[in-house]
Amino acid sequence: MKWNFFKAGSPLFPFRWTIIVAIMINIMLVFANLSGWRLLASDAQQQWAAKGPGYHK
Amino acid sequence: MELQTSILECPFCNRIVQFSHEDVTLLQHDCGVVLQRNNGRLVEKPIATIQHPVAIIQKGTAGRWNGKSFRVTGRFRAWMNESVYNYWTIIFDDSSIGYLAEGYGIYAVYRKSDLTPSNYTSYQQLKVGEDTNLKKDVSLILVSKNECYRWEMEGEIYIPDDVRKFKTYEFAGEDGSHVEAIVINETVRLFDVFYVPYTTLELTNTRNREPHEQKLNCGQCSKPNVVKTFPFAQSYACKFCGAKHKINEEGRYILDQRSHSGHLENNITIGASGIIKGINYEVIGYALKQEVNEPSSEWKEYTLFNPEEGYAFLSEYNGHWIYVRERGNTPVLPDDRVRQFYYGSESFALFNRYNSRVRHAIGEFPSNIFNDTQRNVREFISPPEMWIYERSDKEGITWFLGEHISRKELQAALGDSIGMPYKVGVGAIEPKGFLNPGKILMVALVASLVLMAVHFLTTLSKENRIIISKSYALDSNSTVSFVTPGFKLDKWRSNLEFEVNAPVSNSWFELTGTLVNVSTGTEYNLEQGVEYYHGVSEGESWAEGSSSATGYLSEIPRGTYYLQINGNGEPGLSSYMDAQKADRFTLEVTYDVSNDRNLGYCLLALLIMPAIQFIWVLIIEKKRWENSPFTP
Repeated sequence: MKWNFFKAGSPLFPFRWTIIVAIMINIMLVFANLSGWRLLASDAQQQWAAKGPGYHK
Repeated sequence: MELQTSILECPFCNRIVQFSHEDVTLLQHDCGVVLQRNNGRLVEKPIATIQHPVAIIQKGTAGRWNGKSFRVTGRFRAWMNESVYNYWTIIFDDSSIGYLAEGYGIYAVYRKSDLTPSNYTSYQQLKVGEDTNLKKDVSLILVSKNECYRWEMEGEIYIPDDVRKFKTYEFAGEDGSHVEAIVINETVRLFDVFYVPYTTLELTNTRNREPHEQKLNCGQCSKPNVVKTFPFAQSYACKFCGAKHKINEEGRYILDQRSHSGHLENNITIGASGIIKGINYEVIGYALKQEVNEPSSEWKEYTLFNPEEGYAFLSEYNGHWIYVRERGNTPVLPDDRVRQFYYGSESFALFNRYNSRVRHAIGEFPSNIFNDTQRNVREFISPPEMWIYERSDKEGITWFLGEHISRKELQAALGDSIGMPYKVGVGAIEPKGFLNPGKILMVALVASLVLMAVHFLTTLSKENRIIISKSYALDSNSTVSFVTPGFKLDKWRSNLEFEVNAPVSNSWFELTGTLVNVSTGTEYNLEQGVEYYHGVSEGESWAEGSSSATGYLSEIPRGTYYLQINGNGEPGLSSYMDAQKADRFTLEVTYDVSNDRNLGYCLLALLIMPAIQFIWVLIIEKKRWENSPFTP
């Protein structure tokens, strides 16, 4: 099987962009899971630090 | 087995005559006579010799097949019903003998078969498509029968028996095997046939093909024409008036049908040349064909020729182009009702079925295209390829493989010699947008499984450590505040899950949490409310909210923290009936929890593209199959 899916003869060629998008989504999921990031969260989490943005309640 | 040769003396010139193999019985001597070896004696035979070779293979050509080397000793050129075929005698390094049969770009190695032949009369009675029962476990159907009405030779040849004419019957099996029966004087000899691409033979010591052009005058308008690929071209149409000619048994072109054709509108100049699919072709013919059925669609076919690779065609319909070549290794259909089959791993679906006639033509053609109206054609597609099945009871079954070829490729190959017609709709095997829906689903499934596996692996190491799990009572003002002892969060980054449970009924409770980093003072704030209301309205019960809720603090870096918690219940009396304010609440804070919601969102995002592809394929395929009477 030709694994270079950007080459026209590869059976995966028609799915090249799906594969790229899938890889990017996997990377995002790994980062989210390892960092505790909740994707598309609308929770009312606010942050304040003495040096930076946010406000002190 | 050692190669056995025998050395005799020519009875005419007295020079040495040496046969290369014990099975080689006929030889064209240097002095020009054809000698047959018979019981140790040489007898002259009045067999025609080839005057104009018109072939790149010659006596002495060497090659390889199936890991074995062979050399060519000679050939007989057989003139059949609608073809001329070369049977080159080849002797392998292990002294076994066979044929390299070639013609029209098809090459096949013939080896003596171990199968037991049937009586010759059984072959005569067989119809095209019928099983011959040669093999018990595999169906071998008759795909063609030919009669060789004359033949001529050069070099040394293996041809059993004294023969002037012979018949051949070719069989194809569903297991991909091919067998040919050569019937000479009622004796049947079976050969296993192995079709091979020209390039795999690694032929050396070949010669330049010297064409034997036939210059002749049209039988209708008497103007001069040239047939470049004689004797393989079985028909031609006058380039001036379009009158149709066919080749007769004497090898001469005779007028077959008069023509009253007008302007031909061919898009490629006859005589143009260019490299198509890596092969240098010359355009030698053009035909405007029409289906003999409604809607009587018309298409244009251009005949191409290359000395090594033989004939090919360019077929154009509605501005879409297909490159077509006859094939030896082909599908085998058990019967005429097949509407779909697998070849290799691809599924081919019946797209069109028709008989056709030639409306206009100029140039030359490898078969007699002017008598093909009884030939039933079926096209099976799996874009960008098409298998074309042509069948007549008289001429047998022929398969062609069509491949989509882009306008860009053709323009690059033929330059100014080609005029591009406008494209209409989606071509039968145009690869645009085509994806097998089954493959889309498979890719989506595999991608989803990979994503789920990644999620599983990245959540395996989650601590799920409980920081707090306790109940707290509210004071008389329905509030409570406290600060937790310090605790360490040790991962690079992670989350905290707050599960709040308060026994409210038609009331509410709100929790405010502040996570404070002891070292940096950074604060992370969370507000999480709990409310539950219920009642009866117009006889029906209703309820909304819940007495528990979950909130999160995300991406908290490692460090030592404490939590400052404030809990507030509804002050005063509620206006609702059966209201119950919270007098306590339960809080459970867990560190480093997995978040399956991430997986859900990622799966949705992942499936967007396959879903779009699926819908796009449905739209494109609908347009493609608009031209077919066999919409799947």
